[in-house]
Amino acid sequence: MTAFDRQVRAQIYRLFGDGVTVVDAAATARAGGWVAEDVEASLDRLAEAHLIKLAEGSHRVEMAHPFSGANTGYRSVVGDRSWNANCAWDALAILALMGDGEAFAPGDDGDVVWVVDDGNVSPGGVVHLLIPASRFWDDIGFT
Amino acid sequence: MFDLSKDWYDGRFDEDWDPPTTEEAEATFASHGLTGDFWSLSETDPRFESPRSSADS
Repeated sequence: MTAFDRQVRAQIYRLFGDGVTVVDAAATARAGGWVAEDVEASLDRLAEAHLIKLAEGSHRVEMAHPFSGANTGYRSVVGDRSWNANCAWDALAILALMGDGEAFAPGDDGDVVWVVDDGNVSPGGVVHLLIPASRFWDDIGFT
Repeated sequence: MFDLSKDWYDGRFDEDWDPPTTEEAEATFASHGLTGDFWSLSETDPRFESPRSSADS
């Protein structure tokens, strides 16, 4: 990872952390004071290394785990701030990064909600992972 | 998953964050009781091997 790619990757996370929902080359370049074309090339390298996932045919960040650039139905809320997540694991993971709050996962009878308070999760539950770890990135969207 | 997440995503906002190597990733899983074939990365994609060992300028 080049020094520039490190800066771009960190900027992507800062933007998502700040609640920006559309994190693309333009937004990242603007935030970092960089040339958009340079950021596009960096995003391609980061995606190739599976450090982010880009939306098909674009330079919009679809996944910077645990953050999602899409409205997946999985989300995390801390006070008046909220973020889209990629899955149930990531909805909890965002709270691990951003602080106590609620994680939401779509269920058959409405959202499943976990509350994290002082680092304790309630209620308990089981998260089913269908894909073994070594195959996570075969199709990260499905994973 | 929450406790695993704290370890898995630790430092993710930092510029000097490096993705885990295969061994580091498996060790993190194992520290949370996640072992066996499902969590094995011994035959894995380059995600867990690449950036740190490649040209790092």
